[in-house]
Amino acid sequence: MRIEGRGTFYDGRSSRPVPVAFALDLTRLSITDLAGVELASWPMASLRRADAGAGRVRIAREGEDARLEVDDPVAARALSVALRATPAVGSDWRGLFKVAGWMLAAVASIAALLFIGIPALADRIAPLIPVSAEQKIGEAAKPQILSTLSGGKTPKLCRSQDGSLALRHLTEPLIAAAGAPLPVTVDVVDVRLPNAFALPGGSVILTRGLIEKVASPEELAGVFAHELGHVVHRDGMRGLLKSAGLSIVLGLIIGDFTGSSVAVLVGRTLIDAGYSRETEAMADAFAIDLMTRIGRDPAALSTALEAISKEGPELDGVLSWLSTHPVTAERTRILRAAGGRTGAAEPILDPAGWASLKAICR
Amino acid sequence: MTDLSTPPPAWTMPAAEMSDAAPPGGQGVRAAFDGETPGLSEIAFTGGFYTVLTLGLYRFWYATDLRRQLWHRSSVGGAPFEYVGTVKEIFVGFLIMLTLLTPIYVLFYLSEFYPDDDLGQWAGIGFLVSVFFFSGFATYRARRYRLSRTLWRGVRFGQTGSAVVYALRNFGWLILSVATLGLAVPFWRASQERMRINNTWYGDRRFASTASGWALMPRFLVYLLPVLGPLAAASANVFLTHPYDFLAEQVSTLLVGDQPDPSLVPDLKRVTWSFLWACVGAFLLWPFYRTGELRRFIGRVQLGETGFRSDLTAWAVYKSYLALALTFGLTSVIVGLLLYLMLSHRDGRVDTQETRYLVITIIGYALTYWLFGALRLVMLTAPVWGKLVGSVTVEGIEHLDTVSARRDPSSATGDDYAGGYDVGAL
Repeated sequence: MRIEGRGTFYDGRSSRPVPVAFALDLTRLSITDLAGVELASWPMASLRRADAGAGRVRIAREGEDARLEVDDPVAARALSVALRATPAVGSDWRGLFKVAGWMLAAVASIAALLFIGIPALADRIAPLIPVSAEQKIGEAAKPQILSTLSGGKTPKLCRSQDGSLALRHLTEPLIAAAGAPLPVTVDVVDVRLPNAFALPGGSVILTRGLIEKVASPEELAGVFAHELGHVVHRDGMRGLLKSAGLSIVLGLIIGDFTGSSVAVLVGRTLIDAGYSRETEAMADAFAIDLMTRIGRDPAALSTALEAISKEGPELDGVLSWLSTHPVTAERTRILRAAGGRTGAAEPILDPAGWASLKAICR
Repeated sequence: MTDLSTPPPAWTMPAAEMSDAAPPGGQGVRAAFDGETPGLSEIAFTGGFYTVLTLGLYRFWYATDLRRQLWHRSSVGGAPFEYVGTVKEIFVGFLIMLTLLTPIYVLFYLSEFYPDDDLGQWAGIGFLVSVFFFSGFATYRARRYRLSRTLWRGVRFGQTGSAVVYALRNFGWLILSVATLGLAVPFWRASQERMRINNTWYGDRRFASTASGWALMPRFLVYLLPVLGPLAAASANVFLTHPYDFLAEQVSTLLVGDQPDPSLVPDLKRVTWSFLWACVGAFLLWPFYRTGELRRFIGRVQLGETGFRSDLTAWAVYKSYLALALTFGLTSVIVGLLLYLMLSHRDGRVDTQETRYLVITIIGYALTYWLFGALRLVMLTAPVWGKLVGSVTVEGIEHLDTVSARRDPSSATGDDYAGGYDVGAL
């Protein structure tokens, strides 16, 4: 094989075009000026194809800015056939395997960041946030959450005198035993769906539906102990920190500076759900420990969970994974196993108190 | 995929101006852009597809492919440009940018967490300031990277000057512009253009710009008048037809969230509408101002004894915008119909509506992002780029035969901070 022709040579040191003759054989590309003086001799292995536009071939030597340009259609076609397998200029990280390899590396490090780095960081930072700041955040979030819970209507808090007294009787021993790092407040909101939340700042919200649904004060105590676990672990704060971290990382990766696009939201929801499963398990463990310490049966929580999940909306496969309070067989099994060891004779709340607590919203 | 990556129809690209002959009535050679050779829309659609598929990770490869196309399709005096930047470089630049952006994000979340505290408010101010600073810094650095990776006739371009100074100058001009109610904006833009161009090099030869704010002023006023005129008239109307005490009282009423006096309602409505128009109009008329500005900027660039001229018209740019708007409209209707059919179609599977909505939302979002992104590139970005390049006439190109390459690398690897993002795209 030998291809010869005319072209224009730029030596990479000056912008002056030099008309040249070139000859390409199996070993090298030789470039000579029209007087026959050799200007460059590039070994075949060092050749690179450079972008040149339609109908033109541009050849480079690896790592150099010198270029040989060939416009002549016949020579250009012959060259492009001969140099088919020659790599292009700047072809690091090119080729299917390299692209895929770097992608995989990137995905792996992002996954490590999302599933290990951010939770670890949130766990370290959350205790450093002053309680007063957490309370402020909770206060700011509370009206919004209550309003969402009430379906956009003005939320109604239940505060009947006897009911509130009974609620205090039920919750105060638990709060005292829990040793929360911040003062805990309990509210009952007039909503039919059974549910319970712990907000950042030590505010626990129970719904009317929950109080009506559970069979005994012990079950309600179990749910409350679980929420106390969230307060003690400062899960609300950690959740906020994790969400913020997720928004940052996903936003940066997707290339969306504000981190508010749908892609970020979807990603955040999926990963948040993953986080919350672990958080729930830890709150369960806390509830088991707390209930045992005050001499009550922790299995009550599992009964309450089953009651709630029957009432809640039916979710199919994908969405049950998204649920922030997933009732899994695993959770129920652990709670059941913890039960039965203790069981005080008298109920945690006397029947009269239980009746007025059930009527707290009237 | 494949049917979309066929060569673009003729209307998606500007007519190629391959002629290097001197334009009538003047000397010099015209720069050219080849928008006809197929390949660009293939990259736009497949590259965009992979980018969406990998949640954005592919965009470093995509951006590099795209630049290579735009560069080598542009030529001056028959010599095409060449983009020699690599994926690795802009990926490293992206990683550096992550570390630079992290404190900015911390400020943002501090301001979110403590909205009522002094700390939160200072963090909020710090966030806005640092974003403004960073955008100037990043665009200047990204420009340096792109110039240092641009090869023409075997010699690279380059940029000197400090990105920090460039970003700080933006601050000074911002304050001046606010103080002068926007009248300093043309001077701001001309001043930054002079800094950019005076620090731009082709090999060892330095560009020089004599861009002047005064030359931009008439065009800027013509731009501003229809944008802000109605708002000014409506506001003046409110102040001239009502006594001051009455207005002061009404302002306090509005501040506590009460309804204003009925006599004021039509006037306030006019103010609101003219304000909305100002926001929309500022955007719609921007290409009109910008093309005039580009002509004046390019006409005042000198590279040694080589001069430049541009005859870019606003209409040429608006044509691309109109074509894109029309296509967007049509595509939206079609995509909307498809989504509607998918949502209303019931098959036998046991599946709640919620899951279906979730999945379709995700797919629809990805599809929209991909399709509109690719269309925008093929119908707007590339054609406007081509029209701009094709509008330039170079006078005294023969003087460019004697430029030497600079051996000092003004080209630290991978500082294309904006490259991974769309800050000052391309």
